Amino acid sequence: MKKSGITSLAVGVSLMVVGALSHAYEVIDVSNGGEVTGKITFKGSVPENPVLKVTKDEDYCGNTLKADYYVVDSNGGLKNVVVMIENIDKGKAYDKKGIVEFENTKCMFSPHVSVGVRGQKLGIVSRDPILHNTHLYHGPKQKTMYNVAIPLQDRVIKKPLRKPGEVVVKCDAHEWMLGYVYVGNNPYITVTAEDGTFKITDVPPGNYKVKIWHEKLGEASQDVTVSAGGTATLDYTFSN
Amino acid sequence: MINLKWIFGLAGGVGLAASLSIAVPTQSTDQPSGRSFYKAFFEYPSTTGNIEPVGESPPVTPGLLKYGQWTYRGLCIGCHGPEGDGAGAVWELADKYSPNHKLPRRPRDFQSAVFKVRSTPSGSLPTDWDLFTAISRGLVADQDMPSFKFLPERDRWAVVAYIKSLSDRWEEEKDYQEEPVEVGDVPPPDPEMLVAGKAVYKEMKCAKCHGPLGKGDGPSAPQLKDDNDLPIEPRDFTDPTQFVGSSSPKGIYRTFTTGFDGTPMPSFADFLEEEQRWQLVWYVMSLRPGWDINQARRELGAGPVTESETASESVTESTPETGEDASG
Repeated sequence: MKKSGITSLAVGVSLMVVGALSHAYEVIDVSNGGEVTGKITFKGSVPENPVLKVTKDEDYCGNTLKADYYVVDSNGGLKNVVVMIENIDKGKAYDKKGIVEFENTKCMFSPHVSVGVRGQKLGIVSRDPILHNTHLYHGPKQKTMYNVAIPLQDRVIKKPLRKPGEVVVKCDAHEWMLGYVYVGNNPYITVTAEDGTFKITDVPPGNYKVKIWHEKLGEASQDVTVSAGGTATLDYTFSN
Repeated sequence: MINLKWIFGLAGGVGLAASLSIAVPTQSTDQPSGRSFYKAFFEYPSTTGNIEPVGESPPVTPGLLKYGQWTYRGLCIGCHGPEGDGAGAVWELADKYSPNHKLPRRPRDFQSAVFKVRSTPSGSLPTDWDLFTAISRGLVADQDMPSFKFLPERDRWAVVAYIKSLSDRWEEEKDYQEEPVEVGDVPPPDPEMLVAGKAVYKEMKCAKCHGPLGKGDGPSAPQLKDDNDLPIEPRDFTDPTQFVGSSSPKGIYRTFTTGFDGTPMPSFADFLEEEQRWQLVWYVMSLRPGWDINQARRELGAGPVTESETASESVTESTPETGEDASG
């Protein structure tokens, strides 16, 4: 319990200032940047993606759908892994007005996992002729970030990504629908392709902590050193 | 005059301190004191009974915050908890001590600062005005949150300021807030609006949750949950006493435009033009038993609809005797 609201407020405000400073990302000219590339793989028997039972709008959605939690190719490459540099506060420019595309299509979210930078917008669209709503949740308590109805097809609506971190996306109308948007504090964030590979470019030389996140397999942290104009390789293997 | 103020201040202080020492014994040494507290106490509007604020919100000073914290501990702590996370004794201990009077929803968690009733778009924080009016009006229908309009206006402002000190959202997201939704003057309803409103209701697929006649019994209704994973029901539009937000035309306009964050009720802001919104408002209003178009028009200073118009008003399926009430 807080001893004093004023003390805690003062502490809170000072923490916020510190927090705000460490959050602030500054765009600089990166002429001698390096790259971080690598491949995220999965070793072991791949857990089966559950069959999702459709409980509503079966006429359109069908009776069952296949979850896309684990997407592993024949070489073990793991798709939909978020890879991000955490401790970087100065670096390359990015589109601050960028739109992260997010579709409701065939009663699933597509892409299942996407990434954006704080302040960019999520461009939400439905390709289905039924009522969807895109309901974003954030933080350890999984509280609503926002919740927008998508009653009509093919109209893109844009909402800001206000908070960094993992955002879970659900649809209240169709409880099987699940997606993720990972919001970075900086533009050095990406998601692995079908073959598990990724590439982060224009990284100023230095030592960094790289966070690797998968919705079901958890997260890991790796150190990486990027040299001017060089390529740092970062491979990581999840297993069960 | 000054003496009187001090006497009132002291009496109030002793009273509140007494209740505090019972509720939270460890807090008893932690009372507001000094000039800043009395400044907060006396300099701001003391109006009571009003829902909307009469005065400007006072500047947030340490004294005001302290006073807000003090008021919070006296009045809000039971439900919203000592930490403001909604884990008050009334909620936490309900199973043990009052299973027959369990709150239908978890009290608002001010640390997460996700609010249902706002004038701002989904995802944006509420304005001070929103918080003030919510405290004043209460959210009786859904949450057993009582009205606190008996509090002097300054006390309510102080609580607003204190509540905002409990979450870092107010500071962290201040650059990402969207402007409040402007709700213009209410246009008087006419039969064409009701027909159009019924079409909007259909097009926006409101019936999916609220049911074809707005009884709150749509196909999605049984499985809806709120942020705390507790079952939640879509509102029955035929019973305005059960509305969480304001049940006035402007209130309904605001609710479907902003959505209720923390619940499955989404924002329809991006899919409705101004004209459609009022059509939808009046269609939803018309679902109430005994709702009368001419009565509604009269309240807005408009004359009754002409007879040829009333003929098409059967769209509401609820009020056959429209013309009579208006003339009588």
